[in-house]
Amino acid sequence: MVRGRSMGADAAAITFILKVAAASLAGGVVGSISGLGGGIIIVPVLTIFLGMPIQDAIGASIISVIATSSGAGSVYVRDHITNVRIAMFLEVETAAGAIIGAAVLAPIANAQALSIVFGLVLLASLVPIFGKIGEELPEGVHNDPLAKKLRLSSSYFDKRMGRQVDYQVTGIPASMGVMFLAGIISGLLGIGAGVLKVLAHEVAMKVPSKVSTATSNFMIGVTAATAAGVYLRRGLVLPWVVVPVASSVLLGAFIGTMLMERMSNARVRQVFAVALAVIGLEMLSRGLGLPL
Amino acid sequence: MRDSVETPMPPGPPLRHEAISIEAASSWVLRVGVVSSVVVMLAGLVIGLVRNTVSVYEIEHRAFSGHPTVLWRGVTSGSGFAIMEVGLLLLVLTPIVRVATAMLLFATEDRDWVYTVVTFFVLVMTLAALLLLR
Repeated sequence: MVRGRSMGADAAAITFILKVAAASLAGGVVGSISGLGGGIIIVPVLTIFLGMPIQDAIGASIISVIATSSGAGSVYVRDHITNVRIAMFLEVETAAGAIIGAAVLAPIANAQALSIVFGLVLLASLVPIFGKIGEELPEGVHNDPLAKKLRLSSSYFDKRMGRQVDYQVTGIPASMGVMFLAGIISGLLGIGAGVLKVLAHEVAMKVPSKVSTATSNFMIGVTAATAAGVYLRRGLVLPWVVVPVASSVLLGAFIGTMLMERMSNARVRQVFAVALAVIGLEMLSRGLGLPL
Repeated sequence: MRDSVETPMPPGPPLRHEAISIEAASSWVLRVGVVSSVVVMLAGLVIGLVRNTVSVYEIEHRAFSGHPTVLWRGVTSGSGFAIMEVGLLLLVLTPIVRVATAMLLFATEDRDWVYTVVTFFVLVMTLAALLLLR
């Protein structure tokens, strides 16, 4: 061993880690302001700008997703916005999907296939930024039989409206299917797949959008932890990369949340969405082997 | 704990009480888990960069191994890499512990067997992913 002779990291190693940290910090800020979450931005940042293999980027991303979603999730659940029963019930589907995605599909997908799927999912995720997919407070929703049996209807206190909001829940079978798909995407691409979760909550189950966001965040931690377990065992998690990525994304998410309070968010989100569309197209063209 | 069958129900609707305790416990588990894992990971990173030999090649190729005895030997000998691995494990375990906590509360506080079984399924899948699958 050469330990005694050259203690500490060499300059190139330090530079590399600082670059990873800076890129992840920026990714965390953009992820939080755009409302897409860290993972979907971190993977392109690490592959396009730092030239990392997409499998390693996915391994780093899935770990960061646990950190950011658990951080946000802890605040929402404390404020009683999260519907814990919905989360627990649908975690069965997302966890099963995550195992299929991470342990069955990811090992047979090559870098090109991953890039293509990633580009498509990133582009699809931008749709809700331009047109709202759910409703703030859906009207005339009645519990379906499964929702009644599982006692999924609940209420939360809406700070902006200053009152308690009661809501019922419908469309459980459809949302189970979408959540299973969200789990597969999560396990395959190392992202939270928050957009699919919100789709299941707001379009299929028709829960208020605040509850949907809070409950998605709460569930993403479990989905990501399930996928991360598989990635850890497959040797796709590189601690020297993941640690600066995860801590910087978390810090970036905090900064993004603070910035959001000072900005009018609709316009800002659209500006970021255009930038993200370019990144999505770049991922797609890389996967297809086209120059762009 | 229920020490006697004669113990009267606590005041207030029991459902509300159960909901509060699962939410408070989940929030606490998530917060403590994220903060402690990030602290351990960053400590490992700094210790590793200062004390161990690190090259770009190692950064890009050395994967998490997680073998318990190797991990323990690494941590006790002050390896930054091993400390980062412990931090990563803490982070991955955070949502899993959150599920386990909810399962115990559904079983003991509410005696809600449907949700005890639901959370048990989730727990089994997350643990299987961490311990069995590759």
